[in-house]
Amino acid sequence: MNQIGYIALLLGFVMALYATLALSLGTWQRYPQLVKSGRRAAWSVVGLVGLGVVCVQYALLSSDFSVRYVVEVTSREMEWWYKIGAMWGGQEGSLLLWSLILAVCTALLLVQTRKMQPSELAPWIIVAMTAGTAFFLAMCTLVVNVFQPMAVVPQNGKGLNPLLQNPGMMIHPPILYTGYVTTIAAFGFAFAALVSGRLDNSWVRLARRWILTSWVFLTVGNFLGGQWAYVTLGWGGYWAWDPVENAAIMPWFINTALLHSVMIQQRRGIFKVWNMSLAIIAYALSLFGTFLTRSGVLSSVHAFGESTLGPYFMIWIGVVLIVGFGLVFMRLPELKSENKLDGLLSRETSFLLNNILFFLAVAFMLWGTVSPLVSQITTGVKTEVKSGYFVQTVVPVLLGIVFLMGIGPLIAWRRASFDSLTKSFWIPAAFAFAGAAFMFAFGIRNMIGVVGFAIAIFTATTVGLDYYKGVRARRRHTEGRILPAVTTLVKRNRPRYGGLLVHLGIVIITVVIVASSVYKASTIQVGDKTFKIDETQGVTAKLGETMTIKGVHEYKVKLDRIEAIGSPLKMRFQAYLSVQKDGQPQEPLLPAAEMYLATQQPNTVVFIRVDPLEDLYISMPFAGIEAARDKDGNPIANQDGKPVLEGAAFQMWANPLMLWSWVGLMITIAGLLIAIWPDPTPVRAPATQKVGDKLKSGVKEKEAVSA
Amino acid sequence: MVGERLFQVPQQVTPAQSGGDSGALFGWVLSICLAGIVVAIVARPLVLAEVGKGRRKSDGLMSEAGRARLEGLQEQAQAERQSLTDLEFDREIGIIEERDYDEFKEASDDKLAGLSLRISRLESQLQRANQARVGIAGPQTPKTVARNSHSNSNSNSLGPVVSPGSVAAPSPSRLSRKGPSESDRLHLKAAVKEKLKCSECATPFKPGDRFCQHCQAPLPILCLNCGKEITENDRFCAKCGAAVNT
Repeated sequence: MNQIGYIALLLGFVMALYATLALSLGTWQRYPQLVKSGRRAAWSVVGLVGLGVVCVQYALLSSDFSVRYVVEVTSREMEWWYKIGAMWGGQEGSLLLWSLILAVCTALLLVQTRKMQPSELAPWIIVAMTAGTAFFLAMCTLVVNVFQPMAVVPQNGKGLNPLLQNPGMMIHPPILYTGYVTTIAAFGFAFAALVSGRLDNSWVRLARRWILTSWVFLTVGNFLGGQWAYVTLGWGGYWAWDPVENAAIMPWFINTALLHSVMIQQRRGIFKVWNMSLAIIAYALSLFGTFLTRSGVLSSVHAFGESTLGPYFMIWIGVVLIVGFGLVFMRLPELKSENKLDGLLSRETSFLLNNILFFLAVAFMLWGTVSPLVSQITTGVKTEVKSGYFVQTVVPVLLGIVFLMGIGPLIAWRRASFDSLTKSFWIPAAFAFAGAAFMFAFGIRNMIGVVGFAIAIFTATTVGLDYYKGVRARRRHTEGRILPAVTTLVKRNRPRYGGLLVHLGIVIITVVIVASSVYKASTIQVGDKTFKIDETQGVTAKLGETMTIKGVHEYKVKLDRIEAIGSPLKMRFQAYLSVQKDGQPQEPLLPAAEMYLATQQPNTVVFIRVDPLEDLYISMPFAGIEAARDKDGNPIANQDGKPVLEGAAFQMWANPLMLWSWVGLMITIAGLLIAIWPDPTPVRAPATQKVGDKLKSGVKEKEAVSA
Repeated sequence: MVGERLFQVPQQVTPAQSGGDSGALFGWVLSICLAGIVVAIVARPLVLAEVGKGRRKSDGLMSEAGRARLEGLQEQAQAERQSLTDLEFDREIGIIEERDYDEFKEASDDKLAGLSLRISRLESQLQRANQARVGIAGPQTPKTVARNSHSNSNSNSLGPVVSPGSVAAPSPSRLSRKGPSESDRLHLKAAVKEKLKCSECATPFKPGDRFCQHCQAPLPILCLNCGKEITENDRFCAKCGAAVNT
């Protein structure tokens, strides 16, 4: 199977390269047979990559330790679902996952472009996809090799990193990668428009669904990544401004900007160069994220370590940028705007401002991410960028974007007046000020918190107001009935009202982020002493001692016992803590610490007591477990031979509103589904069809006469 | 290093797991068969038709450029219709001033009418070009015509996507047969604006018309691209350089 898998991938690389060349040459020189052959080659890449993945999965599931990759990421004891997920647990396999998703997207585009109008774009879109696939297949066959054999076959593998043995592992990487990969599709449409010279709005219209798809996958992928970090890493948070985290969110920002600016192009025929540029940058940033994870140039919890892939990725990113912007430059005269902005106060300008802010956020993040590299190259010393830099630069910009989310929907297209703005926004502004005053009155003085909540109230109110105005207008047509008014309103303008729901979901997530960042409770009292948990490695509690933490509720947590549980795979120390919430007894808290025996890697099993108002988050680092020791300092064992444990260090936080982030995500996805749902519009007729039909009928008439 | 990797095909090192040399040989045979099948599938279109013979003749630069331009205009018309829909919606929910609404509505209507006119002209031009080609090469020549005929029922001369309730621009033939609808009025308005009137009776006419539909007076021949008057002997417009397909 391993030979077949390797040959399939190698052949896939050759076919992807051939498809790129055949489609380019065939389209350029008008050889339809060559184009047909190129499309077949593209289909064959889909099948070959699929076969390669099947072979890798077979090796992983059958614990074939003659393959080095299988040894690195699996062990016989691992559950079968983690063996499947282990394919993307290492460098080589994750590149193969990229290739697989690319191949699937290529297949979907092959179907979409079969009878697509304008037909000029079709082959060039596939060229962009197969060129990308060829690059990734070259990486996973010629530079690294997922089927690389072992010189000596071991009895067992090293097993997957304990942090990766989490349900998040099965979902988060494929979803995030799909988000990355689908940016190539949007790039493919832009590239096709630039090469073919079809620079009207057709590429934007056709790419819109792909941009939305990429956006939703990047949203969910980043969200799940944050959740995974929250429940796995044990430091009480979900976002650490890690280079790879930044690299994952940057394409999301650019995609969001693109999603908004294409709406302007579709209506007004402006921002053409800008949209092309955003599509190119989104793809380049996706590649940049992959480069950071794989090159080993920056240290990150997500990185795969040192590898030889970095230079290849740098070259490929360079090729994408040079080809993309080179084409934009060549086509500049044809990318002139069809209209001008009618007024400075308009929805178009609010979208433009939102685009600038997104770009600014990405610029700040990019600089914060790469500046250690730059400083290392220029001064020889790798400087560290603290999270404070990102909080001071990116967070205000993001709050500005959330504010614009409120402005945009209620400002008129083309031109708005101060009078109409006053009419539209006095209610949201009043709500926002009232909310801020309310918080101030109740002693909430943190500036970011107050401003953040006020902006969230403003934006949420505008969403509500927009729906209200729409429903009020529709009720005139539905004899005053509300439900038909709502449904017809949404049906008539899915993108608008779906988009508003997405805004609402993002506002809810923003509230959660602000609340959990600013109002997180982290002060623990043990006896007479008070500890700030973020400044310690954990607060030590002996058996029977009580720790107190006060967030929205007051929790008294008492350490009852710690048990050592052995297994062939790992040693587990299970803590049992009884807890009282505002004096009321609750179910016990069960954090644990583990040591994986094969790799000697510790792992923290976090325990989270979820509540609509706040999460009680507790973790027990392995290093903080205290065993009873004799006079010589040796651990004392009980009758079963297990260590006698007398205490442990705990980390504990009360994180407000965390559960609501899921509500925000669900609303976001629901809104997106509404926005993306296809309208029952007729199939587009090609430009020449009418002419052709007339012509055909004319010919038939002539034939009938002659007969 | 890449070259070394190319030939670094995995070798099975433990006979117990791999099934020994026979297993490896079997793997190689299967791989070669796989490669052969893939190459055969991919190369089939090239083998069946010689590349040189299979080369598609251009439909003519005029025709291709015209089609692209027509589709571009249709996209513009679609964008303008979307703009109009948004304008109506903004008015419905009361976020646009009435004077701004009137100004933009008129501008959009005018632009849409102008676009309809240009689309109609270009369609006629393409029709004549196609007719000329069919006369030479037979009815199957323009492949793009035969393709997608299933969507004929929606054939609207204006829109790439025809949303229900949107204002469809009339084809020239519809204009002459039916009564003056809203879109016809816009169409005529644009025609008047561009001074397309019969010199004898001032009846507006469409580009391509040879005789006035009211007084039968001969009409000037206009370039279908820019509207400049041309003669029957002209092959290209002196103003814009477009080919004259009369």
